[in-house]
Amino acid sequence: MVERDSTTTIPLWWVLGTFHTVALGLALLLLAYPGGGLGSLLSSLSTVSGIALFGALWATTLFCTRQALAGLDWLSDDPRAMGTFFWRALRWGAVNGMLFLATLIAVQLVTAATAPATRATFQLASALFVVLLYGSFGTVFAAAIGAVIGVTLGALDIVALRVARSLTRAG
Amino acid sequence: MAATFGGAILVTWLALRRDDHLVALAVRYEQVFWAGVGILVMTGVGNLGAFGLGLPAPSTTWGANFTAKLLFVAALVALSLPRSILVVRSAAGGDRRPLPFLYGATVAILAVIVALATLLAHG
Repeated sequence: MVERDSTTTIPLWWVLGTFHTVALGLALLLLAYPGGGLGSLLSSLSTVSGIALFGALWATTLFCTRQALAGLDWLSDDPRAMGTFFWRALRWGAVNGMLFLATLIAVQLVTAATAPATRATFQLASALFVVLLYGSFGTVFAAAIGAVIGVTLGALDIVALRVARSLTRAG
Repeated sequence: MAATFGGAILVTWLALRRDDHLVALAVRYEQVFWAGVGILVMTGVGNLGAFGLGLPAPSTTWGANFTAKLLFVAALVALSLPRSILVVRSAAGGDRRPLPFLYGATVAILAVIVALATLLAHG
């Protein structure tokens, strides 16, 4: 198995998980910037919370990618392995969407509870309402969006695998 | 960026020389490369957050350079996934002939990204 010795091989979950995070981040930037909406979107984020959110997305994506690849000979490009991979991409993409939403809510609540501008008006009852609202309806949407993104990125992974194979054949 | 760009130049040089240590070094480079790219995008998002509403419009020269930089970073990431897969396969005894071309292309794209980053930093 190619992942056992980290000095002679590359952990595939690390490569694919980071690729997924960076590709998603770049796609969002490329979609938001030409329309002029990026400035207002980012104005609600501080530098630290922006880095924290990206770091959280990176961490949850690495975890979910590792779970999706567990026990799977992904490099074989075997049709059965690829079929299993797509189902796992769908499932773990949904889990990643939910995990990221939970992180997003936690960061927003901690920011609201600790920031000097909002600390005085922060109410526990309102925070609980936000958690219940997003925890119920938000989770369903986050899972659906995460599943779609998971399958899309899984398809890109397989395209990259086939490009690598074709380069070897052509070489 | 220094590790990502400098490492790519070193691996390209070894690949062109068909050095015996190529695959071992390429494996190390790929491990570091993905950490580097992740950190670059993460800090890039943080820097954009500092601009906030003051972010220059896409129609400005800065905006055109920024869009070009995003597209080149996307191209780098798109090139790098098949490259990493090829290195994994090479480490397991697979064909390593495409590596000089892929690492050469990586150096070329990174050089353009560094040039665009310099332009953006100086307005």
